[in-house]
Amino acid sequence: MLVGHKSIGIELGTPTSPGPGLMPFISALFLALLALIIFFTRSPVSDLKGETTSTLGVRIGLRALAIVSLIIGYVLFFKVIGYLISSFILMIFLFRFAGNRRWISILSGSLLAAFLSYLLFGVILKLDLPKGVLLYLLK
Amino acid sequence: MEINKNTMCIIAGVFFFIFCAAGTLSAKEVAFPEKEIRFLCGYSPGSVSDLNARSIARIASKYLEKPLVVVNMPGAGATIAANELVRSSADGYTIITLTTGYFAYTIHQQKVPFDPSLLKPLLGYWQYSHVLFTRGDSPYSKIQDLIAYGQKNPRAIKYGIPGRGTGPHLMGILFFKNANVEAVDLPFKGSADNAHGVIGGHATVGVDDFAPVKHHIKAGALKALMAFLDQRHKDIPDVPTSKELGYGDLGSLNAYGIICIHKDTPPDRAKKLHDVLKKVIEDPEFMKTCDEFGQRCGYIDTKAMDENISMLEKTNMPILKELKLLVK
Amino acid sequence: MEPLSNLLTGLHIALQPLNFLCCFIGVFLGTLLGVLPGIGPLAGIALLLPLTYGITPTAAIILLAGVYYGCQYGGSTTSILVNVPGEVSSIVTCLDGHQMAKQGRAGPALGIAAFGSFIAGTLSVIGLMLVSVPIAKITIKFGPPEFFSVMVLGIVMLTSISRGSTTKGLVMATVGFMLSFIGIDLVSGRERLTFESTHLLSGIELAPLTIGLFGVSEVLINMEESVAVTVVQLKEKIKGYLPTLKDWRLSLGPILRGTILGFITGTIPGGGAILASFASYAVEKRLSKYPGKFGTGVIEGVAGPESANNSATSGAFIPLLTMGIPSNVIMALLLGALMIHGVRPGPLFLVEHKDIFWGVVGSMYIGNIMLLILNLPLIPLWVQLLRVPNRFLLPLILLLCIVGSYSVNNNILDVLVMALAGLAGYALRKLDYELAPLCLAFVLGPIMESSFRQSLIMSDGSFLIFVTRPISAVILSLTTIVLVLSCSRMKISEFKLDS
Repeated sequence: MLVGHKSIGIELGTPTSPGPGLMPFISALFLALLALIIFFTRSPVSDLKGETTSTLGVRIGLRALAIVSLIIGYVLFFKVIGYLISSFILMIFLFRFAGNRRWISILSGSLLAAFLSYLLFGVILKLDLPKGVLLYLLK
Repeated sequence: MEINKNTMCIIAGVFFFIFCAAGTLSAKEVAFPEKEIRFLCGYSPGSVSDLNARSIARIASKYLEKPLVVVNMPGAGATIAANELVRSSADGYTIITLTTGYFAYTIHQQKVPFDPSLLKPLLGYWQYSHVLFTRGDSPYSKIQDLIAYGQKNPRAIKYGIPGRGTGPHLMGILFFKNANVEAVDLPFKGSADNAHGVIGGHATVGVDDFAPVKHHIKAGALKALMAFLDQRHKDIPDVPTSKELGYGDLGSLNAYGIICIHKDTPPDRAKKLHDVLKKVIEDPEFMKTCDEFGQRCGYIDTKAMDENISMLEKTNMPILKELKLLVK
Repeated sequence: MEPLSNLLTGLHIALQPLNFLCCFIGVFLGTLLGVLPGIGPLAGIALLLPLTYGITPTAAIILLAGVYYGCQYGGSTTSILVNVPGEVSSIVTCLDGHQMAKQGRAGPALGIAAFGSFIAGTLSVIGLMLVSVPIAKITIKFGPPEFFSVMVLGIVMLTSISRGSTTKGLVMATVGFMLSFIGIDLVSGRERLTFESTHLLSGIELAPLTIGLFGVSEVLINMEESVAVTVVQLKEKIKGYLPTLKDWRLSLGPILRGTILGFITGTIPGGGAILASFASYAVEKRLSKYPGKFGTGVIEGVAGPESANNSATSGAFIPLLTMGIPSNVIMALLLGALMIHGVRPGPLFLVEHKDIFWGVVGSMYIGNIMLLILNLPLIPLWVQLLRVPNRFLLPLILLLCIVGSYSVNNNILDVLVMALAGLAGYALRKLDYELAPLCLAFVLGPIMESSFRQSLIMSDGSFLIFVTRPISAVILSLTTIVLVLSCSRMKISEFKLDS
């Protein structure tokens, strides 16, 4: 993972011209340098934190990835199906992930969360939350 | 019994559906607008465009049955907001405030993610009034002094602008070129920083629209040396215009603030929007607010807008190319 | 005693029914919005703006100002309770505040934040009253070279915030810098690192980034255990709701220092509350006898920054009210609101519209008192929130984060930024990298870089400009002193360890 940082450092050094490109280039170099330092000073000493998470890391990391993918999905469908429905679906997954077992609490919790937040943000605070398909159906 | 119940449900559902469909069909004949109209603004809250848009929205409540709600979506020089307009349905419920400058130079500086021809300017409502100003206690009291100094000392004059590739920047370039002065632009982040920079003497002079610097000029922190206009501005009657000083065409290079809709908006709705907004612009209360801001307001029709856009484009494209800001 | 008589007039104005009501609504709404991640004073003010058309300018400003400093009060609440900053200026509060909450001391943390904010708020309003004009004159002198020097000072202080390895801190800072480069470069107007994306053209927004890095990663980390846990594991461990005498003794210094620091920082355009809270944290850590314990639940780490961000809000008013120059976006909105009412802030403001100025000042005193009264009784309530099982709390927090990120620009792609930042934050925390330096670098980076290049334009390429201008030279020498001191401190402690 530390090596990953190093590779990022080298890739992003895109100088467009001496003016604007200078700083990104210097920072990329600096970053690469730092990454090298870390790499060499750490490898003999085993990073305990790294050890324990790497064994469990795969399983645990997956859950985090799953949640983030959910959010990305939320982002993509947000405009199409509207705030209420997207949030409702998202909350169902989240509640499930967070450890709720009973479907009743998951569904009611999600419904409540979606509606109450809509009230708070969409109505009271007048945020621009897309209505999407739902409104079309109601029409 | 259950089968009957099921068929009942189906029949009820069908009726419901027909009812809804009828509702949607007849909705077209019911007065537009039936719900609030989103007034997109691609500039941050508090900016000149935003405040003007909010003035319109406020007074529109007198003429429109449903409210006009300003929604700020700043970013990418208003492209993000413009993109939003193009992607929303062309039902007349979304309009946007932009400037002719957007069409003339902003879109040429970026890879715009939509087809600009889908944006149809509806009407214009204000016009920029660029001014050249310097700090209140500066030794230059007349523009001629500044020019003389600049000609003798190339690159000594640093003029502050609210950002590269903006109207004031292009205006500044044209002016100094015509005046045979080699001046250097000093970009700041926005009009407030620009004003600050000039007040503090960090930049020799500054170029910007009159509205953001009006109160500084009134307070004496800044003084205007020249107005890029054809006629004297009524708030600063002592300041000479570019026309008087011999830079004839600069005055017409002030962009217009305009309202656009989606090209495919149904014509009757477009017409209603146009007429209502025209009334708002000509409302005395709106005029009064514009005066407070130091803005020149008025109704501007399609022809004038098109002319403005093509003229701005023609003049500014070569400059943009030189500055290496041109993308398309 | 001119200020005093003016103050009395101001209080009198502020106590009028309409103004009083506006003050209350403002601070109440502000606190609420501050608690919600991502949604801050900007949203509140933009929302209330149309409502202000029908009322007097005084009432309008009182209302909007109340929202602004109310938010700083509320921002600390979620930071302490669930490690999610409610406001970007409350990021540092997460560091020690949340640790305190985990030790069952959420009550004292919240309490000292509230009290500190109150003291800072009140004192800074006094400052606003007395020294606005002289300070304003100095602020004018701040140009690009001075800004650059201040940023350098900030960077030096940044390194002292890092808890662990300095190298890792530097890595974070560099990443922060690089992220800040994305977008249109100020000085040349050209795109950088945007990878052809329109959304990235204006760069990465700070709020979704911080919400993601801190908030979402917190949720992700806590989601790992499917067991029903609460933030405070043992219910018995909630020790008291108010700060103890010892807490007070320790916090007094930080509060006072934070007030002064925040006030000054607030007047600098572009700086504001974020810089204030970070600076205060760094200063407290340096001055403390046990810098190593910062980050484990030290009350000074809450008292200082919270006071600083509140006094920064008062400081931010100075350029606006005395010269009509807004020091940040929120002030720009307020400027617009004033102009809609036909009031022109500027040097003449204090003369022409004395009543508005003193009315606002008066309302700030009252507002701070109101906030204290509002917030204190709520503390036990908030602490009880910690007892809500994580399985309910976490999804809700995530939803709030999402809506908060969206609300910044009404742009759903900001939520994408938040999500990716969340993933990154999650990974970074697992790898024991600190997030605070990244955020600070992200904020300071653009200002530093553009100031640097603007200065060079001003001086036609000469680097001497940074030392030939008096203010800049002073700041740079200060930075050098700080740098030397910290290096020698390190050497001394190493020496001590050896012997």
